[in-house]
Amino acid sequence: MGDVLQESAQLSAVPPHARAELAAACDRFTIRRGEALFRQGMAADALYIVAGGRLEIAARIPGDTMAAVSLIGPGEVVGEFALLDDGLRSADVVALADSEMLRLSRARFLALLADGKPWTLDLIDMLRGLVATRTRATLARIAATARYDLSSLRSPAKGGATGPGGDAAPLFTALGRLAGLGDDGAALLVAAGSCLTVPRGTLLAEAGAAPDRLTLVLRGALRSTLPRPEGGEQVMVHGPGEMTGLVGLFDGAPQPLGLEAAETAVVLQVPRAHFETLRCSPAPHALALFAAAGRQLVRDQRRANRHLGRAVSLARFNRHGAA
Amino acid sequence: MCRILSYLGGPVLLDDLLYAPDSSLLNQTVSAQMLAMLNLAGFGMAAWDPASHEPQAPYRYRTTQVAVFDRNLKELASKLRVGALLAHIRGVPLTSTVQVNDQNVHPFRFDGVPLAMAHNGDLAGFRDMRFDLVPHVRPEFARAISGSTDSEWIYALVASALPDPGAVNAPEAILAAIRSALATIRTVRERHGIDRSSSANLIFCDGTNLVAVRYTFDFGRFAASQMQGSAEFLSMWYTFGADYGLHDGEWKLTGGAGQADSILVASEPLTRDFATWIEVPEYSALVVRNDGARRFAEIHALEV
Repeated sequence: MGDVLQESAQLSAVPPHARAELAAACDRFTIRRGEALFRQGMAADALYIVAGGRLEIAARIPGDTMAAVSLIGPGEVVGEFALLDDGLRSADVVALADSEMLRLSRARFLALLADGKPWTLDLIDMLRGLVATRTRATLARIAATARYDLSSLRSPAKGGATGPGGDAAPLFTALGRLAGLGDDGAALLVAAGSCLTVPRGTLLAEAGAAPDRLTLVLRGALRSTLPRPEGGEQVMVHGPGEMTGLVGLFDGAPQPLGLEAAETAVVLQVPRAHFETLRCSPAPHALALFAAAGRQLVRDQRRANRHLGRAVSLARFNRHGAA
Repeated sequence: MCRILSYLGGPVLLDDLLYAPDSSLLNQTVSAQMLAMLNLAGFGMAAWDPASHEPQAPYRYRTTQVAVFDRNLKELASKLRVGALLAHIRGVPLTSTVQVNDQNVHPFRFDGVPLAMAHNGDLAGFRDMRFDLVPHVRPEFARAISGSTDSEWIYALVASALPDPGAVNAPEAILAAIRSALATIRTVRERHGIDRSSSANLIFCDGTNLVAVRYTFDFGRFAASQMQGSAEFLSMWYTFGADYGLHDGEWKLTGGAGQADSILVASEPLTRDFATWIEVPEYSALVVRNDGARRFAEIHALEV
């Protein structure tokens, strides 16, 4: 089974010796055709890797029907949210054939991470990148579908004059999502970035922009939008303590969504070079920032999935009885 | 804060909506899933029973009791089947300055106006700004305001902006009136220099149409000392299906979206398992209309 990990494309960013240690940390088991690996809404307590076989990922949508998400096979990872946040399972995973599986429990992983095993940092960085890839794929599916109400689109934001944001450090004190940074960590981050005030309705970045910065919302709100010919389709709203721009920062490709100020906002922009420095750093504030980034990536993936589910289910609802 | 539940669809027993699910509206009185607050300051509902005398007029019920202890409501819920419902439990800060009385129980519905409204949220600085709202409220509705809540004023603004408040208005007209009311509030907030995050999650129902609004003024803007409830956009969820009931041990709407004609909208899902529920997007309205033969649902952007 170790060979499967060595040959896994998804795990290619994890060094070979780390993959060997990962394999050693996993439990092995077989799941029979038709059995559920886990169900949507269950507590997420483990990450799984397919060693052999085939499984289907599907989500329930309004009307209590299933919407297929994807098929997974050997070398592929599923259930990775379990190591990144403490939310519930977001989909059903069912075996389409008898399948050999590897299981890494959340409790075991966290214990190894706390022990300072270097491979755990490689793995979790890979998992963040994997979630970013999945979010980009979901956004591509949303972009490819014409299922949106024209009434839900918004007028494009316009360029506006941003201003200095003042002293950002005190604004961190009320942000629970970034509490792990501590005062010193917040001060270090503020020193490396630029604090701006962005008036409501101001365009911060077009979809397709280079992933050259992390944007942290300190006050107010930003909106991520997908450009449509008739206007902007709101996909997510980011409130205080949230990060934007993570998909492009983790996978290196242009940002899939545009970014504008939904409310007058105070933001901290951190250059990509500093983001990458922190990504490789074992400093406590860097670890805290990237733990928050992992939770943000999961949150955004859930939002993207929900947005897609909304579009699909509304289209079905409105087709009912139609010729 | 508060919790709201609204339903539009085939007749269902009121008990199955208010009491039966594992996170039912009445269970949310003390154990809401998405709100760290008790909702003890009253229960109210407008319930439309298609088999009743004058079915276009709702049965109305309001109490300042904690509704889980209300035997009359429980008895009523076990008999009444509703095709439309707007129900609300009120949550207020735990302080003696708050007025807990009949007049402040939602949903609001002026005499002669078919449209009812319930609110989840609060407008910061309302006591300073309310007198500036008077010119935007029809005199007959200004006289009808009997409570002290910001919610009743929002309702009065919307009712005043309807082309014919005494009739069942088209969904477009209801939405236009909501936009007008929100724009008025935004203007008055700016005039008074109020820029603190203020939520206006609203559900309107007249027994035929349903409009659910998820909106916050100046979301995310707050002083560190006032952050409670300001860092998260207040939730609002919906689900739809053909048949509401207990299926596989879970209260839910089943039958597939393609066969659906019933819709539930609530501040939060009525079940611990919310796989079949989806959020109303932020700064948006979910509009459910009925063309006489069937229902349609649409999302509308709210930019005011």
